[in-house]
Amino acid sequence: MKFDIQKFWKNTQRNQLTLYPKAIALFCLLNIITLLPDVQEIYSSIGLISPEIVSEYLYPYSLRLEWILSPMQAFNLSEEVTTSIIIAIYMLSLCFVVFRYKTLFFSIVAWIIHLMLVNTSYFFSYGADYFINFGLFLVVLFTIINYLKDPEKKRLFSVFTIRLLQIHLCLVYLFAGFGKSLGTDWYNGNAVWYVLNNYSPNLQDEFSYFLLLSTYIFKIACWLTLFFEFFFPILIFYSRTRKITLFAVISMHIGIMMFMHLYTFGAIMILLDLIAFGHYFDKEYRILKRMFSNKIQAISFNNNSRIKES
Amino acid sequence: MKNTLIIFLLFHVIVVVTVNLFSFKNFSPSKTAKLNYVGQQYITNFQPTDPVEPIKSIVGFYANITGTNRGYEFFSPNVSSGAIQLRFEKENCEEIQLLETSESSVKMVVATIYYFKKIKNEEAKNAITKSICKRIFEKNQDINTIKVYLKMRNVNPILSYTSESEFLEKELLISTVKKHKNEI
Repeated sequence: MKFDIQKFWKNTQRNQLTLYPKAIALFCLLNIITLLPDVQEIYSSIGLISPEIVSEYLYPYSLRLEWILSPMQAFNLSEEVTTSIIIAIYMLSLCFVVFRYKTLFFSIVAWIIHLMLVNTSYFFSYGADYFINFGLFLVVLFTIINYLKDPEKKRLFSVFTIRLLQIHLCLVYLFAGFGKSLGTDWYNGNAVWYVLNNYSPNLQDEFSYFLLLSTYIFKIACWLTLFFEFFFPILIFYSRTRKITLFAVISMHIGIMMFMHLYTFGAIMILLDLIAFGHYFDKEYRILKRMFSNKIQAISFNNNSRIKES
Repeated sequence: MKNTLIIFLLFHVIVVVTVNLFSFKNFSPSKTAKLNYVGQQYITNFQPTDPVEPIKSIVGFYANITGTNRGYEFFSPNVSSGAIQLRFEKENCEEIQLLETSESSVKMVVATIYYFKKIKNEEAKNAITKSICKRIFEKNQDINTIKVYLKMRNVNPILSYTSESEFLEKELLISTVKKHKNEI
């Protein structure tokens, strides 16, 4: 298995660079919609955790909503109204990115606002929020490509953006696997056992007999997680293992969604994995597309024949 | 342009690696009983030293704006055998629902984990509890007293689990907050 540096800068993607920023922006829009009823509690300075407490845990340079909320009080705008306006601007910016209107400007606006939201809700922010932030950073990079005139620069920048995401995901899984490999729970099966019991306690009632039959099921699940995470950077770039590796990590994230109920986290990871490595399934995608278009053609042919007969 | 992009890529890799190496510093050496041999050797021998200030700020700023400022050591090196939940109750023992949506509930679980595992200072914990209760009082004028409970749930390791095993569940009253005094 040789590493060819020239191949690193070769364009491996099918031409979906306009789709990726739209997909990420749409995801972010859906994410904020799921939080709309609670935006005041989580993000506003009159929310559950006051900004004075949060600011003790932030660096001085961390952008935060408080920097906008405080000056707005001079215009007799309450914190609730200002927070709602900022959320509305965030959602509108994402809509403009989806519909490709002044994408660079609005992608930067969306990225900065989301960064402020994540910093402001420091205690409430978790992996999904940080990956969404990274996704919005990628949207800015994707939209920069449209402003480059030279085709070679366009190609280089588009390859760079995808490679950045690929390398980033490799580091994510590598360090996740490395951290897990230092303990004991991920070898004796306890890790998946504890996760299932703590996040899906009812599962045990339904499958208790099955679960007791063999503890090897949990050990295998733990070892597979360790293996695919730790060796992800190698397996994902090696031609014989890339598809099974991508399938394995996507399955892992589906499992996270189903059993840990971390829907946003699982979904953003699947989205980023597909953007980075989804082109590995180009052949399968084309076969599926042909199958569906043949089926649609067959259905419309049958309908037309019935219309003619009648 | 190619060279600029390569430098940017390398910088990104350095930032991510730095953030993650420092996040492993949270693996407490006092808890090495649950680390395997490699884990114990790593924690005792390979702890990175803090970088000098300008580098720390540059790395921290870039990590913050790109969303790479939290390491990926969640569920590392081990998974907690227990779950914890904060519960807020009115005087009439009715539970107070803080947040409405399921995604918000996930965020509340995250906040609870931070509250108990990352914040060691009791004063800081009390400040957070008071802040949450203050918001509840503002939204619900009819509430005068809030009781804050800590609900804990622990499960046995898999090898000692039997069909008769039950979860160890406990609920502790950790504070009572009165409206006008906002005291704990």
